[in-house]
Amino acid sequence: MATDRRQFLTGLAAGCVAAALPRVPLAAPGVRYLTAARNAADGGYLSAALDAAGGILWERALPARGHDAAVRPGHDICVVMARRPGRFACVLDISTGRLLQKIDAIDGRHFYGHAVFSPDGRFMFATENAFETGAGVIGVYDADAGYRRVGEYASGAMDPHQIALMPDGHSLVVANGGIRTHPDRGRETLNPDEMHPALTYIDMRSGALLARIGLDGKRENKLSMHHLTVFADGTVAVGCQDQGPVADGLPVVFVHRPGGTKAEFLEMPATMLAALDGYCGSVSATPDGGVLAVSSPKGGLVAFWSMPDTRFIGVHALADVCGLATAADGMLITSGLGAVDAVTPGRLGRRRHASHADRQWDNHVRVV
Amino acid sequence: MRLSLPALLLAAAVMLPLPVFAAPDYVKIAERARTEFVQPAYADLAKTAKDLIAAIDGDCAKGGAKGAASKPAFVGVMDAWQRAQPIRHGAVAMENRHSRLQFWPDKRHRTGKHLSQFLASGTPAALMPEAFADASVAVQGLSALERLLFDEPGLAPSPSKGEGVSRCALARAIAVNVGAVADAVAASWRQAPDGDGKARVGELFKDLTTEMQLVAEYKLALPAGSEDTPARPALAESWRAGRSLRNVELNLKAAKAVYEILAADATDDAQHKLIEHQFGEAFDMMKGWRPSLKQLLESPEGPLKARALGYVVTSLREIVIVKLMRDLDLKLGFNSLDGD
Repeated sequence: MATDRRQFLTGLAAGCVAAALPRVPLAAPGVRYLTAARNAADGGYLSAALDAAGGILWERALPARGHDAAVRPGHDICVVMARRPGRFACVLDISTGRLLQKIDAIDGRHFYGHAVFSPDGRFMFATENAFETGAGVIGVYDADAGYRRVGEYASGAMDPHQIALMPDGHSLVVANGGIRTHPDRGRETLNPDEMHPALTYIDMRSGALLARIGLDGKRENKLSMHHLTVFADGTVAVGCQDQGPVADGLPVVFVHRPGGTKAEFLEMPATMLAALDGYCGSVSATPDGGVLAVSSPKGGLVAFWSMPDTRFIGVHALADVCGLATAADGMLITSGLGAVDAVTPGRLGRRRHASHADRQWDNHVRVV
Repeated sequence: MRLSLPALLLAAAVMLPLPVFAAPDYVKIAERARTEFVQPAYADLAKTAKDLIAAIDGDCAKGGAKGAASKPAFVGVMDAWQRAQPIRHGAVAMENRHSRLQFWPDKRHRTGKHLSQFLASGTPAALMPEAFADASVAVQGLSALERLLFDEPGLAPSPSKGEGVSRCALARAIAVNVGAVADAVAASWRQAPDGDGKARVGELFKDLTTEMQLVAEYKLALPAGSEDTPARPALAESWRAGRSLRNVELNLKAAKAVYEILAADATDDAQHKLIEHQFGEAFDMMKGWRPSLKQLLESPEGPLKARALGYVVTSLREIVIVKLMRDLDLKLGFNSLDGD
């Protein structure tokens, strides 16, 4: 138990007394963050760009609640995706927030909230639900042709959520939650006994399924994988959400290493694992790839592990925390109560950048 | 792993379109806080203030006696006040009472200035209770009294040259004032207030988070400095009396007591266990630190230790917010409720 308690400090505070890190500004001047938000004053949903100090650069009203955004390489453009089961995506000018184009999901599909571009910036890959069958698909959009939907790939499981580019530049990795939903039934889980969540790798050029990493017996219909981040060596870290009827202390974060055949679940002290409440909201990493961070809005905690050795470092507490973004010397973290904080694993405490009383920052924030 | 009913309810709530929410018994919680925390705290403050008056009278009858009786009596009244300090709503919020009991933090250094001015221009009439209650709040309470007791020349029965009132007389007026304010607040809490239970519990929740913020940011982080700024021990609360850490410890014990009343019977969840752990961590950390924060901050690793404790309290406050907002249906967040 004493060890549990100490974990708050080791790494994040007293344990790092000796680790005098170089002083680096939080972010290079001009760095911008993009996040979705709710305006608590009028209930409206918006997309917001923040500066390095957490100040609001611009805001753009969205048709409904947004989720994550994809940044188009080589262009000052991002695409803000609707939160599931939304059916819109907004192409925005990152400098001004101007709406350049609105993309609608095709008949029979809705978006899941995440997308990613090919390295050349031409194609956008969006996770979608073919909801009459429940099949998970990756919609392929040609940005050079006005975001025409040129086809779709099978994602390899139901409920594809976050999608990212692998370091090889041509593979995609997808966290498939396995939860079947239908827009007519809201967000209700229709297949609680047949989830089969999976991490899948897809060749973006052909749609070929390169690998599929499922979970073993007792986790198979319990842990829905929704969020991930990719390290430079090809290791993928995934944050899960426990869908089981009871919280039973199963770890909820795993890594999959290149060529590996299984998910390697990460250890943390039982007290803190329980406090995550079986729910991961965002997954991110420090810029050097040395630290993995996973947020739990239900627990009000961000948990940190060193990488690649997956040693647990500690947790940082912030009520209703969810958004995590890589910052120059650590992590930018946002909360549904309007906080924009910075934490640097290995340095003491947090720096409060800004607190926006009437802004509720949504699940994700990213550097754009 | 043991399965718990709250965990079951929580898991069920996640899957249902509308959370199942059993409303807590707000009135019961608010009444427990009133009768088990606030009333005893103010009764103790009122009693120790009376002891302090007697001690000041005794010392001053003996020419000041270097505060031999007054200083220990001050410890008693300050202990009582530090336990009561988290409560900021209700009677203590009226007539500036919280600041009149103790004017702190003192961002503009008013206590010293106003004390000098009062000693210079004060008259015996200005020390009469009604008049004194209208004096600057900076001279009415325990921060001013601490200076009189612990700064040179200490208690003196006669006015110094150029001064209108003696330190003994002013110290007595402060003790009388503290006792009167404590009596008024205690009397007000003797009856159950009007207003709905949820609003009362909301006030307690707000007070609890305010106190934890005060401890983390003003009592610890501010004097401890940062990576860029040196420690400033003189910004610590009660450093003259050498009791800055004792204040923090008493505040955290009081915060824990208020938290446990607010958490009521919901003590079987992960957040509660983590909160109890973190309170334990905070108390453990302080164990080797006595006697004073000033001495600690003057040691090589002291500032970092004090900042680490501040960080633990800040973290603890966030988890307390998470748990109580959820359990008590107070101001609820955004991301924690409805998933991605």
